[in-house]
Amino acid sequence: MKVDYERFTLDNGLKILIHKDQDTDLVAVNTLYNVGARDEDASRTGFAHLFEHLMFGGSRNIPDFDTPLQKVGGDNNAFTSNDITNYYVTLPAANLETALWLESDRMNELAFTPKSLEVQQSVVIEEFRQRYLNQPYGDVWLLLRPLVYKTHPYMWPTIGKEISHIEDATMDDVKAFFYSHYRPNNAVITIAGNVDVDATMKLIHKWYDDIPAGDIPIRSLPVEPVQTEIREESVEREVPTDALYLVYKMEGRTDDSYFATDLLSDVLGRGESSRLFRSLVKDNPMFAQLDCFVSADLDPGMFIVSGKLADGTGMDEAVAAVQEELTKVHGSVTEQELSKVVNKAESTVRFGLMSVLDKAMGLAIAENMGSADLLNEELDMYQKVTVDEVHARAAEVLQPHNACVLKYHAKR
Amino acid sequence: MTVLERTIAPPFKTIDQISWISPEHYEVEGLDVYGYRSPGDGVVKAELVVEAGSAGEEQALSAKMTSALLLAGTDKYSAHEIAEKIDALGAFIEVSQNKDFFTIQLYSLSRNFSELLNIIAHVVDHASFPPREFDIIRNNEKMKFKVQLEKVDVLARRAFANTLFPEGHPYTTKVHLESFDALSNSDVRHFHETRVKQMGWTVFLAGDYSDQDVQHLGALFTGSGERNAKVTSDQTLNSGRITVVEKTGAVQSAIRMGKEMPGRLHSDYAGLQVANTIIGGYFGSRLMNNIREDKGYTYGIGSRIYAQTHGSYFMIGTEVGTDVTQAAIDEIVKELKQLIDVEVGAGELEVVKNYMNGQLLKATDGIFARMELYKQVHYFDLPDSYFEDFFSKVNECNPQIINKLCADYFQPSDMCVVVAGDIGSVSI
Repeated sequence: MKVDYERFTLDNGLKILIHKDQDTDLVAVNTLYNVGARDEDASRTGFAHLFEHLMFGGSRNIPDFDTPLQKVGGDNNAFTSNDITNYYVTLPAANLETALWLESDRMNELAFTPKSLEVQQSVVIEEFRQRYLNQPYGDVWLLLRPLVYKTHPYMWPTIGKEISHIEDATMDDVKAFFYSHYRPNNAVITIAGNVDVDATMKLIHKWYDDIPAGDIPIRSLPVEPVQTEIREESVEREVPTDALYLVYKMEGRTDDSYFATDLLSDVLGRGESSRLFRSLVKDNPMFAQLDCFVSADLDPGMFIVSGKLADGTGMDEAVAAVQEELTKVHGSVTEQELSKVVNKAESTVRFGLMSVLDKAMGLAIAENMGSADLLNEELDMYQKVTVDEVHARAAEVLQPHNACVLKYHAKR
Repeated sequence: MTVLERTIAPPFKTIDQISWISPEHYEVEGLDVYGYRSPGDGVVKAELVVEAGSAGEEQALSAKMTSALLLAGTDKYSAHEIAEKIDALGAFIEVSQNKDFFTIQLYSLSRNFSELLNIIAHVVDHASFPPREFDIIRNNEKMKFKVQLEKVDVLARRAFANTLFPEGHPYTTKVHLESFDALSNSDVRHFHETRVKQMGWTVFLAGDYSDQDVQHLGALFTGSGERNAKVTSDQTLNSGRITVVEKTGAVQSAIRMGKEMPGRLHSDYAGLQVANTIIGGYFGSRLMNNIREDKGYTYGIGSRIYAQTHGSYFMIGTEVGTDVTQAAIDEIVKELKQLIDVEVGAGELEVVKNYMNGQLLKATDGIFARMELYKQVHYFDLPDSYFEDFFSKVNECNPQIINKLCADYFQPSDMCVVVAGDIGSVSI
């Protein structure tokens, strides 16, 4: 199950990892830039994501990214998070060079056309509408994040704080963003598929050697202060039923204790034998839906309980019921419960590494966290967690003063 | 020393063939098991399929609630005990249904697969639909349904089914809010008894499974023998109808536009898939280039051909800003007309074919992908050479062939159109 790889670094700082897989005719090329929504200016949010769109609007030597790729039988997509921006291409292994030609040109320099900026601003605004404004409960994260984070840039979502930030973006802003973050010394490329390592590196040198390193601003983000008092907010919206969201502050993804906290969230709310589901959806059906999960952010992140209230359940009793379950879990997790969620984690890890794209992406994300080896260590880390460690996490994270509560009322 | 010439694309290889690999086929005690084996991965994905879809239900929601309640208790175990057993094995289960099929999808660690099958077989045969569970799950599903009805894309999809398909057709929209309270526990038991337990299973495996697993499946599950559902296309679908669904305050409208199409075995099918790709089947399509990349009206627009057991159709779908709804419709019609009036260029057609070849390569790469395709072969009685033939036909298309197909099959006036949003009326 281990994803073996070879690692190389160019003079300009670009890191390349190659995993060879001969059971496929394809190759996946994943380019990860170490920039996300957390790197934005508070008055210019939504930039990293808008920028992701602009990366498809033509580069200096190639007017259109998608068509030359489609012509060689490839496809691609990208996503932006609070921490990273990630681009991935899948194509026949024989045509690897086309992907490297395309990706290297847009790493080198974008076309920066006014038309591209204008169109993508509109597209992103439609995305804002489609996903956050025109959906029931769509604006939850626009409300929750600023409740949880008062200082750290995680306080705004990837799409941006508001539509006006996207509307007001200028070409100068865009260019500044590119040259600060989209440089080879701020990126890692991972390649997984039916490729020869030496031949691949020859192509990498050919297309990437001449791209200059850049001055990447040193990331120095304000640390979110410890929360000393519970926070609550209530809103009313046109939705069919009340919803409730509780967020507890937790450690970041690269902390050693992360795995124990993740498994704690699984004990509480993953699957139909989990505590929250059993108690509050089945035995005492106060909730129609109830989930518990973690945000897995690189900086200190969120431990989330989210649910939709059943008809007839009052908001205050719902909050009290959830808090009671979160209190009960202190010191009471059994070996059997832990073994159950570890098995589920094992399934998830194994199934999550089946395709070349899974492997390329997994390696890139792990490398960006500190080392690609973290990918291969992940299963071990889950299997090593003890009940005592889970209890220690509960004791620290699941404290009333550490909670942010969003009460999302349905307008009657 | 040569200067790096970045304006010139590197040489590339076209995909010259697709090789289709059929799965292993076992017939064990009357049960057909199909599998792609991948030893050493430590996991196995299994799909147990029975032809007990909602098209065959007597009371609306019977199939859906049967799938939702299948794991909710048996004569021997409570819902919680079943959930505990499944979770302890590290397995993930999804029971689902659509119009045609009822499916149990299992994701399992190989070492626990055998034990998991025992649990599933017990549940399938002895599901008891406890009244308390029925009430809770019905309420929860009703709540989820209410949330769905707030979404313009859901409203459009439901209305489209009733616009395109004639009354009485199995694919019309039969579930409404009232359906939840109208459903009784005995409707669900009846569906389970007469459909799920009677129609017989077929099993599709992918991953690290053993011969013993295959034998075990044969001992636990009854096969379906002769396939019961045949592809039928005896009812003519509607054309040229327009429906508007009002949703006050919506900041986007959902547009659905489409018409009947022939199925997979029709000689035009491959060419129609090429035409569909040009129109809206990939990121560089006519619709995407115009309505998203040029006008910025939407986050996404696309089209697809849906080839199903009781009828096939083509459909364009998108969500656009409310104020540009009519403009978007006009542009869609313009793009369809353009392909009828002007032949697609050789360059564009080459890109589309190469793209489709790449997608087909991807769809036959790896055991999970291949199993998805094999299910089509199985349920639509496709010959083993189907994908290789499809590949050939796609690559034989030229601009004249595509132009004729567009004129014969994609006339705007034949399209059924549905718009859901804060919009009074639309015109085509």
